[in-house]
Amino acid sequence: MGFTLGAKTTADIVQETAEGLIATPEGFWTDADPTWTTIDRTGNNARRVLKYANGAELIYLALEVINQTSGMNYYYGNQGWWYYGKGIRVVFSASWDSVAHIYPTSNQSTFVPFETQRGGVNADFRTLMIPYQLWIESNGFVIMGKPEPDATDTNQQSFIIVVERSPTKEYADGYTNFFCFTSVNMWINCLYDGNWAPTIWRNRTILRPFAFQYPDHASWGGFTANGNGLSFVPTPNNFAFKSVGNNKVYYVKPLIHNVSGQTAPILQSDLFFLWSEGVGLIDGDVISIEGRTTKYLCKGLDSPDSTSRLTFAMKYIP
Amino acid sequence: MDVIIVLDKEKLPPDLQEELQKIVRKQPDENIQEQVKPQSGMFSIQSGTVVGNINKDQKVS
Repeated sequence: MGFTLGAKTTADIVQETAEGLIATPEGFWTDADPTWTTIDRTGNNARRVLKYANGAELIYLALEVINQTSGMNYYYGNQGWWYYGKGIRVVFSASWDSVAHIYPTSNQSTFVPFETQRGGVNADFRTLMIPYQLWIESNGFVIMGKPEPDATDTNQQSFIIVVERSPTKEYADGYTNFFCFTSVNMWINCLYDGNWAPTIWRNRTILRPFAFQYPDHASWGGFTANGNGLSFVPTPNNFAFKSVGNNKVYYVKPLIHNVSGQTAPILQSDLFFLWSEGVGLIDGDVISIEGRTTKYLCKGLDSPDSTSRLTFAMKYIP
Repeated sequence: MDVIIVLDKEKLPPDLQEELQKIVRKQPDENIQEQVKPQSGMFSIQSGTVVGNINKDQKVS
């Protein structure tokens, strides 16, 4: 647990994340199914599922490495061709089928297709290395990664996956304390949520178990995360920035809502926030937070096939 | 602090005019310090300091 960085295969990152959560001293995370391992990296077989049990709180979290041949044809747009993707799928569920070894059909999911290609992905996740930064604590994790260049794939994206439990909520709502936020750098406003693809293959920006998941359409289109279940609060043109007056960093932590809009704030993230480039902060900056020992690391990730940058600060020191 | 209402400061004795000027100069600094204090709550701005850069420094902790 804590902060690590390096370069690993996607399966090894998922394995490190799962083992890190299980190793947190609070003991809330356990292995939910020993048949789900990352030993077999072919197809979509590298995967882990964890159970979070803390008093009355109970939720299952599945992390699947999607490496099937050519990737999943997860999106068919109005242009008339399929986009294929490989990546990580995150699935929340309230129960687990220990006989069939799968989550129930009633679940929330997002497929994060960071290795994307029209007509079929070429890279093999058994060998494709992902330079990454990872934060793990009892309340969840943040992964930011950027694939090594592949000679033939032309839509390689950097990505962020946040799974977080907030200890507090604004009001009692009968739902869990968890959310999941994901984004990629090329189609930063979400590469559509699928047209003709089954719901389990949709690329979503936010899961809020089990109030809503977004987007949740069957038609093609682009969808922004900000304002649709999650609020990155700007001031008003910049997100986190360094003041030209006193060199301090000012930021607002993301708000998570109970609706796919921005009118029901339920909890606030503590693991990450959005920052702006060109306003004093640069990639690699470590921010010390006033009144706490906590520090955050600013990462700005482009990708092999796009200069668009994911700019998120993630927890670095507890 | 006592509240002083002055309708026409030119009619005050010179020593009181000087005292009034000191008060007028002193007040803004005290007020500004309170006005910029961050509020708590979900939408509030929080602050911090850049203490290093992991791309440039050996270790930032």
